[in-house]
Amino acid sequence: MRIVCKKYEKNPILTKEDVPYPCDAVYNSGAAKYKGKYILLLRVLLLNGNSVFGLAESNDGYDFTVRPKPVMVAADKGPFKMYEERGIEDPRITRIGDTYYIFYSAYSRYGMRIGLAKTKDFEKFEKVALTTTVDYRNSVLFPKKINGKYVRLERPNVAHTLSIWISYSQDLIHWGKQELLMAPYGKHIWEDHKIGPGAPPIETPKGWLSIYHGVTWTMDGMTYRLGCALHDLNNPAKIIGIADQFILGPDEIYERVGYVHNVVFTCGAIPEPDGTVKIYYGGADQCMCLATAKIADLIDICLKGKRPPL
Amino acid sequence: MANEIVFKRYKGNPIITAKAVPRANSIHNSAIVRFRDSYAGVFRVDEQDMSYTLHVGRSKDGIDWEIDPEPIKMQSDNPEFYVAKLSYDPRVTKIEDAYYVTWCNAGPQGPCIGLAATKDFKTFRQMENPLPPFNRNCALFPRKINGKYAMLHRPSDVGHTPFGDIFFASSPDLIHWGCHRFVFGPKDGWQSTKVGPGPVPIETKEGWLLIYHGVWTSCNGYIYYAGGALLDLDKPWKVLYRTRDYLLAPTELYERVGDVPNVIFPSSAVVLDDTLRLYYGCADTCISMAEAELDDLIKFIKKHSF
Repeated sequence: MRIVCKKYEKNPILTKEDVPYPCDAVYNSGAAKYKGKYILLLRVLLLNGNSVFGLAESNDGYDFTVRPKPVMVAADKGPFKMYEERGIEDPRITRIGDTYYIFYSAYSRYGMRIGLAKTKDFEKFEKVALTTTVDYRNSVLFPKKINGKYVRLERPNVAHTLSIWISYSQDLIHWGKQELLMAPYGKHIWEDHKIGPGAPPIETPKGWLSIYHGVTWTMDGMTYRLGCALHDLNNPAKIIGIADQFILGPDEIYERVGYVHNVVFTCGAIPEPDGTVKIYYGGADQCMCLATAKIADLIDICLKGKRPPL
Repeated sequence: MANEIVFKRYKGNPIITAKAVPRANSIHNSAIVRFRDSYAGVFRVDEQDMSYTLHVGRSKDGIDWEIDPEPIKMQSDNPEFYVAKLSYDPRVTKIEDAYYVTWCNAGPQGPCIGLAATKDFKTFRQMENPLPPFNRNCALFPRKINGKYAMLHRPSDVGHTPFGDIFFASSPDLIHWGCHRFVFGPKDGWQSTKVGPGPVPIETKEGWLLIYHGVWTSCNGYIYYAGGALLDLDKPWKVLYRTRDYLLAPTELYERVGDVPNVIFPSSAVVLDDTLRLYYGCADTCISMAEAELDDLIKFIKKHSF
């Protein structure tokens, strides 16, 4: 199997020791570029078991510094409060115009649903809407309107195959026209149990590159890996190709040992002008890691892939 | 008749049975509305091949019904829309001059909510499924709330769903849905396993009157009851009152004996002057009705609330 992603030799790039307030893990973080800097919106697991979002900044995308305090926490009043009582998780950042939109999981006794927040400066964050009903995780927003509508990939947790769906919106608040795009595949391979959107899609001349996660059951629980798919630029509901292999899996100690073992999980990837992409990912629900790949290689294995979407 | 606190059962119950449709195995959980100067409805018919289909019915008095022998043929301009072989538990909501049917459209991806509109109960124009799987119960509100269409719904699983909460959502166009809110979930006793919206909510000065189903898991399976709630008029996810005591429990032979025993499934209601007439499915087999004075019902819900 071709190795297309290269793990950064100094992984993990962030651990709980790098967070200047008490916490037990830092993982599954959204990624963006803002004014030339790399930003990670960190899922930080506090000692009470609930997650908040911290923020880390870097000039080079490798060495990050975490701000002294969390930047976004569960609401303590208003309509979000009851839906975030167990914390906020797994942020995905998408820039449209000068606004950075953040889809995140709002967790409460009423289940998991997708909240939308936004910021223009990574200083002030505004919560906008609860954009799904229960029970959803893993929504990623495309970085521009397509045919006049906002588009997202999403993963309803209630459908009987845990799959990747698409939906559309005119205002980012009301979503509809849901359609099943891609289901788990195969038997006893890496993505036979469930799949879900990972990083917000990246625009390339050949199509939208989507890096997603796939899960298989072992005798010892679930193993999380990453794969990639290419969606049509004008109609992202149409999948051009899906790689026949995973592109990143847990084999280093920081991916194998942690809060949840054998997990690599991405919430954000940053394409670079040199044709590479930085894939930021959580290792073992414990730490933040980085892998790089050539976008052309990822597209190539998507185009050669024979894995059917459904 | 037992357990008649505010609702009194009609003496001629059940009012509609499988005899009303040529190939029916059963006819139950159905949506009845006032239509022009009479009544119309969309009925759940379980056919003799055990597909579930939606049929139109008409009645002058809401009691004696003629049910079309053939299922509704939905029209749409989108070839991707489907009417599932298992289409069931419809609700019909009149909004302005159109009647909207929401039903469980259990297609290849599992049970989800279907939506169609009609003005005459002859032509039904199908629209996008408003919510993805799994979801079984959906009732639209009879008017826009704060400028938007609104619904109550109950996400489910693919099987017999040992859980169920009532949720709210609203939409500018009946296609894109947002502002999702939790309304209420199971609680003690007869409603300890799951709850789901029943008939279309009825606007009263005390709030939206919602009749809902509550389910208790007995040692011999689920038992379905009817309860009542009053929801805030502007923010219907705010529960003002909700019955601790049930409104109706399966006690009659036609409620206790059938394809699924011990089921009262309230699915539509009409207001006749000061009276609320509730139509409910019995034991997944036939349809009955019961009536209550609206004032008594609201007083009961307020008095016997949690």
